[in-house]
Amino acid sequence: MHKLFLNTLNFVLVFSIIFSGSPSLFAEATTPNVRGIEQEETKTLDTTLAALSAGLYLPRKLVDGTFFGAAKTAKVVSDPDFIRKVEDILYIYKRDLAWFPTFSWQSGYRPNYGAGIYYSKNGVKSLTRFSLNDSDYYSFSTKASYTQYFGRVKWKTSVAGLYEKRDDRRFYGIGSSPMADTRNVFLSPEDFGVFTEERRKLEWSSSIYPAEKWGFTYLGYYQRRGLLASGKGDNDLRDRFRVSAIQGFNNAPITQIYNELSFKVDTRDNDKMISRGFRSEVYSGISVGLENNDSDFVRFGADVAAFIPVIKENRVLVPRIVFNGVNEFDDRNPIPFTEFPRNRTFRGVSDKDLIRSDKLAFVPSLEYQWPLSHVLSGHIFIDTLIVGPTISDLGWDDGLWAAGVGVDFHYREREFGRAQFAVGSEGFQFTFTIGTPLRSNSRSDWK
Amino acid sequence: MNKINSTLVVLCLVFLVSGCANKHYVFSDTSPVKTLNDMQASPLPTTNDFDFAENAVTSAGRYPISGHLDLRRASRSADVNSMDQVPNSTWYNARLGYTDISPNDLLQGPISIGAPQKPITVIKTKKIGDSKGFIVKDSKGNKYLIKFDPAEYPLLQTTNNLVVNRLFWGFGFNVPEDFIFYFKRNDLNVDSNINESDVDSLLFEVGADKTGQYRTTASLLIEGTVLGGTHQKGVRKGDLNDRVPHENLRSLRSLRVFCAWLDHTGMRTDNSLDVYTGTAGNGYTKHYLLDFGETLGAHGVEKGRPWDGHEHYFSLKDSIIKFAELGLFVQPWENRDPKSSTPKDYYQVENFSFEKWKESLPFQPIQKSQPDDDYWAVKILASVTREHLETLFNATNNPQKEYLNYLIETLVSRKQIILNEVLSSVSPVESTGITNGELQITNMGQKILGGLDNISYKINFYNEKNKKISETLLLENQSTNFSIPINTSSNYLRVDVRVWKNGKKAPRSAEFHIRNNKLVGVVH
Repeated sequence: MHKLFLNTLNFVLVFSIIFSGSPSLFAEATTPNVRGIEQEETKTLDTTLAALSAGLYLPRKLVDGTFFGAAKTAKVVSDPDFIRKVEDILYIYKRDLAWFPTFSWQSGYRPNYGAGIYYSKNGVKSLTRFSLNDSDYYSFSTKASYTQYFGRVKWKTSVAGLYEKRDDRRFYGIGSSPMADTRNVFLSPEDFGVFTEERRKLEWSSSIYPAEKWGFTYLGYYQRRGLLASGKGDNDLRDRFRVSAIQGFNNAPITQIYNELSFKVDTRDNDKMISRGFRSEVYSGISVGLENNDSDFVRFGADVAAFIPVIKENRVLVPRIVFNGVNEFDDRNPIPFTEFPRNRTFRGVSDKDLIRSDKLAFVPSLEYQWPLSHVLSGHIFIDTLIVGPTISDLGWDDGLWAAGVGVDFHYREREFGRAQFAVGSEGFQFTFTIGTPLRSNSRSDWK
Repeated sequence: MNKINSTLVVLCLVFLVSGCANKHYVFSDTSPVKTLNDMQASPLPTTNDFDFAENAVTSAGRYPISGHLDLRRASRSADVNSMDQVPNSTWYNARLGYTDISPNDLLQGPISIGAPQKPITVIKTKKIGDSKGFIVKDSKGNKYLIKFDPAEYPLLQTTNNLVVNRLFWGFGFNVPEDFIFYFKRNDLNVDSNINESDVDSLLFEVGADKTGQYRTTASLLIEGTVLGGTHQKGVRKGDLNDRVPHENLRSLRSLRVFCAWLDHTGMRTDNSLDVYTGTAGNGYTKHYLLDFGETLGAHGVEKGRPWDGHEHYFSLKDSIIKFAELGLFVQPWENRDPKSSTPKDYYQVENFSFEKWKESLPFQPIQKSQPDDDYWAVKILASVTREHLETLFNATNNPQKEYLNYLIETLVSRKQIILNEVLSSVSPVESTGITNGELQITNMGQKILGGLDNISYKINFYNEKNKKISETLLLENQSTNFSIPINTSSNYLRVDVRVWKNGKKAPRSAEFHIRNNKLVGVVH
């Protein structure tokens, strides 16, 4: 380390001497002496600054070169001919179809590369997406929807299918303090065990919006989850937990049919940009177990957020509470652990982790959003996550927390990317997405 | 290894200490350069095209961010003579502030050939920035670019363009001959190579007035080989006369003052043009500014950008600052509603500050401008009178008299704000020479602003080795002109004059260099 420091210092000093030995070295050799001077003006500070700048020569050239390339790229990609050529690539089949690349990455996980195909014509929209990392880590989804207006009343119906396999699901045990919860039987004192999940889902929904800002949705799906108590890495679930003690694991595949009704109201003018208003969604549904799965249960919850302008219309404070719960109809057939509410909206860990799950889960949060420029906006937030088997068991003592900051990139009133850092009880979490806004909170994508 | 490291550290310290001595300019005894010799025969230089996206990334990303990694202060302008003036060149010709330019002279401005003579023939249709137009040939065979007002803002660009074109000519820049030009459809022929329906469709889009006339800006095409817009940084390759990096030209740095005054936020490379004059190998490059329609608030209102004039289109530095500020500070421009604003809402005196004014995309000469460059420019700006402005606006044939009066009043007030700010950023004193052993001084602040009191001066005397040679002289004098007694026996004398106003000293002194009893150099 010491040697590295000295070598770096040497490097900087040599550059300082080469590039700053004489101030005249910086002057343009061809600059004419119009001023009529015999001696240049030189100040102590200038010499020092020149020496320090010489130390920054390489970073400066690196930035210069990078932006030179970026500028040339920008020129190419903004060229109408190029755009037409790209559109020819992205728009296919007589331009009725469009495809686009996607990318997302959360710290601690492998990045997801993928693509989507979009179709829109005569009120019919469809989106097919896939992402792939390796043969045990991929997903494929497709959704088609049709929208029709009857006067001011909007009616939308959709069908969707999902096929997904992930070999890196992390299970930490159920309860607010899994290590202390007697429902979990740990075989070794590690935090979590990794398992593999293969999920097939067929979903259908129908929404009616009597007014622009509110409406009802009926949602139903058939789902089949295959589970394997091992996965990527060393922390196999079977080595960490007594698998037979995990609710629902031995009954896999877990098959179910679910039907739900929800009500949603959103008074914001634009749900993709900073905008004042109020948003709320409440739902309740029933799951009926099929095949090996005898568990029937009710699912219920609410997601309520206010977007309160502070200081100015385009700075908003967002208090939000997300509450989800399940309850079985028959104690003899416990709810599979995969169906427990968990930390979907908690930003302190990856939403892929089952870090805390139980029959009830609350995620209260407070966020502040403000504009940085017309293409950037910032947000800071604090999230908490508390879970428990009953309301009386919910407490802050074992709750998780995370605080973070982030920047959203948007263009023409659409978010197209986000970078976000969070620190909290579970350490550091970084999320970067491009092409897929994180603000999407569709529960129909329930996992 | 440690021995080598120690040697390098010592070497570095020696190098730093040796370079530490403050050195001041020492001027030679030569006459001030009045004209730059930049019209020498040069081979045809390289050409460049303009691309908005490339320019945006370069202007808003590459130059500012790499600039933050260069801690050196911007150098003084290199096209400045010993008297701190800008010699005439292919960039600049001394006009306002140096010669007597009457309001009618200013209106006449660059005109030598004159407005188009009807009938005119469309020889090419053209997209100009966000607007459309065409190139015509008039009955005398001269070619003009014809541009229309945006449909949402009739009269706006044609009015602004005429006034600002003439003002920039007055400031000393080369500009094309621009006119407000009316024509009817039957004054217009269409060349056989052009699809007549394209022309009619454009005319339908822009719309004629009640008399069937189309109001346009006609800009005489500049003779010569068009090379492209002026590079905002560096020089044009292959041009032997182009020896000073453009960001170090005071003639361009002065745009900070002129663009702030006129709210020319769209100042960028494609609002300039380099034209090679003469036959290949025997010609030289002349530099023009053009396209002034989107000034006086037009740029912001047309593009619906409330921040125009207050923030750059994108600035990493500003974004970082705003991130740290958490949005706690509301900027005055945030009260502008782009959907309901008019040009008046964008061209204002309220919330205008020269120091804080920003062009849309950072333009390097403006970014590098130093207080002495701004000071030189405001001496030119100060010579623009209300009469000049009234004559120019009267010539626009714009019936919105109240609006024109608003613009004149705003121009006058913004000029005053700029003068106040810039004249406080230097010691604004000039010398007319030495008479009877006394250095004759004019306080330009007093001369331009008038009525200043509580002015004093702290004067120091140095030799060419930067050694102080006599006691500091304190003077209190409220007149515009006064004199400073000097030691006439010195071979080389530098007189540093620092102005104090209301007990506050100017950030920098003015230097007067005297050699053998003759004023040989001025530095502000």
